[in-house]
Amino acid sequence: MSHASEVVTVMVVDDHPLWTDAVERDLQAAGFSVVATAADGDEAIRRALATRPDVVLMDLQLPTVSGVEATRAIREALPDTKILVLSASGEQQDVLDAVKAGALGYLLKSARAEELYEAVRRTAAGQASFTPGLAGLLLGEYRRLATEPAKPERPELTERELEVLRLIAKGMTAKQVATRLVLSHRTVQNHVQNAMGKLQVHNRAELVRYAIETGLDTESS
Amino acid sequence: MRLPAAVAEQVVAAVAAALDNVREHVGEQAPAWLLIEDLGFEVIVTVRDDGPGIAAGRLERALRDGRLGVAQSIRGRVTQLGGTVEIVSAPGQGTEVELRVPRE
Repeated sequence: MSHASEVVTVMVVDDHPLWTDAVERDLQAAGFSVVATAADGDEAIRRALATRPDVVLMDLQLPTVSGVEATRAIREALPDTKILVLSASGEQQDVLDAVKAGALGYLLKSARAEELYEAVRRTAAGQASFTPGLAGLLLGEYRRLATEPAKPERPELTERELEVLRLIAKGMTAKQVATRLVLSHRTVQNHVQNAMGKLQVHNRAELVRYAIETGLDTESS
Repeated sequence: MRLPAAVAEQVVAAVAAALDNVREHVGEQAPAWLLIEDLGFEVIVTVRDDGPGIAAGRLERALRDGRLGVAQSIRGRVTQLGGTVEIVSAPGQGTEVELRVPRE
């Protein structure tokens, strides 16, 4: 690893400069290294490529390129860079789309500073951060997919994943879920991550299919 | 999610009763979670609090003795809709009131 010092590098993306400045200051004070900030999606993609941060703190409502599209572009170009979505409430579809585009975690802007630091550390380590709201969104998406005409590659939850998502959507912490189901904390994390991962794979396959069907794949070359 | 008005009214009243129960037993400012799931053939509505929870034996005894007035009123409404009510609680796990109401 090149990061001998283990300092987590972060890029903060938000179109409100006062917010960006405050988050940058707080993260620096907490021992993170903020290597870039960006005020729109296009800038976010360019600066991520230039600075290759461990974690991108991504707002979703952005000018030019949306946070969802920026998430997809950064994940494709930089597989080692993890995206943590930090959004206002009420952006449900955007949050779901961001997770499908490869975001590893989601936190509300109303979260406390300590929760944010913890989520950034977890994200840098490749672990998902989730809220009851996100678990509910994932549940709803799997159920919506289940009502569509059956396709061989349609993602499905295992019984265990379903059980874990339901309990988290009911407001239980991962620790409480682990106690209830007699699982390790790590296993609970893995179940949520698998539920997110399957949707990402599915989404990628759908985009490829769409590109082929519409001839987008042959356009540029 | 669409439900016939008469069904929706009963579900809303049952949820309100469950939330009243949280307010009374866990606190005015206590957080509560509401999860609504549409399975097509039935709707599941869960109200969960993060209170101290109730040990299994105590919960059953209270239900049997008719001491959980709120549970009875919730059960009455949901049973009339052909549904079921399950209360899950354990110390440190909070309390879940899960209503299952069939579609149609």
